Amino acid sequence: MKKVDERLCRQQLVEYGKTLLELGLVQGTWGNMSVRISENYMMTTPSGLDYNTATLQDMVKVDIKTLTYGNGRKPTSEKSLHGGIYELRPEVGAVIHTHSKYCSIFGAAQKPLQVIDEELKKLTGELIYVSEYAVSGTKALTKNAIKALAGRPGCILANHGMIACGKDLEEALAVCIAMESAAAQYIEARYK
Amino acid sequence: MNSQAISKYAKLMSELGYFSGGGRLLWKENKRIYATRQDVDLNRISDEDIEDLTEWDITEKKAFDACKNMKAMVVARPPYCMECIKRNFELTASLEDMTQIIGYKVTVTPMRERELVKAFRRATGVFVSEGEGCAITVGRNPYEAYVAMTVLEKNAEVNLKAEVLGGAVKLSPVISMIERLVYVNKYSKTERKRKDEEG
Repeated sequence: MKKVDERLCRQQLVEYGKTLLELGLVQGTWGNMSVRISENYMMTTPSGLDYNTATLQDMVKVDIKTLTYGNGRKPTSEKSLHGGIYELRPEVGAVIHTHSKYCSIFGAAQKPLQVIDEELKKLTGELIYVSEYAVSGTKALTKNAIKALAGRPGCILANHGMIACGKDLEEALAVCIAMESAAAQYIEARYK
Repeated sequence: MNSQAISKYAKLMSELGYFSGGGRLLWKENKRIYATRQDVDLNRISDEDIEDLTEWDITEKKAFDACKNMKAMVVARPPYCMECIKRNFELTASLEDMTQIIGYKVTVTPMRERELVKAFRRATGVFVSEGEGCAITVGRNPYEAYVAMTVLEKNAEVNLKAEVLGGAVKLSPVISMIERLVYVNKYSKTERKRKDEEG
């Protein structure tokens, strides 16, 4: 795999973090993202830092297999989830995890989402699966999330949020937005 | 406390529509309790809009005073919280962000000091049913109280709209308690350090 420029990855994570905030897909320090920089390493957002104030230096380089990192900031507490996806899905170059509202409704109800809109389906697939519940930051969550993802671009995490994958952050964000839009369409058509 | 922090979060919540029908922010500073005046525009707070409540006999101020670790309180009327209050609907955590940031359950109580203090022992948010009703959150700094209110409103909306799918599945109370403890003692530390510096 061609090695990606680390500084560029850091810059992208800063920019996309702000974008997620602007789009209302994350709040404050919640949600996290990563980019694969090589076969063995990923760059992740840090734990507990507001996307409005995070800088390039705050992003964390993490070993995909061992999940070890350097002496600076701590990476996202969901690093295991990101690493697990990269290990099993070599075509995935970026992962976004959010607690966005409408996907969270499906997560809270532990129900999958049937996508009706044809344009959205091109990005999300016809059915977005929901994982079995597991506590955040645990290996069980990683295992359940990967099972729900299978070869698909996204899934909903039970009682938690959602994951979107892509070959890069641009594609992952497009999937993320499409999933949230599909969920919103379904709920708002039925809620009185 | 930096009044800019108070203004910043008041403005953010005002823009989210949390103060339609009124609201206020309270905070502790140098052993005094301050608050935004009732009926001010929380979108643009000035020094004239702040009053010292320390000697006042107001229920929410007394309850806030009793919460020793909490330095900020938000009283607001976000729409889905108000819908829960109207339905006398206790909110039980079905999402991890609620259980970590607020606690397992948000109860509906009258505006009485004893009930509010009891509720705040278990969660950082409460629904008040008296009069027009309101939602109240507390935090160790204004940022935490603000985040608690946004998470409370989001979870109120999620739980109400999950009825379309057959209802939300509640988290286990034991796991919720553990998650809340881990969050308070571990994951919120970096956030808190930065946001305490703000105030």
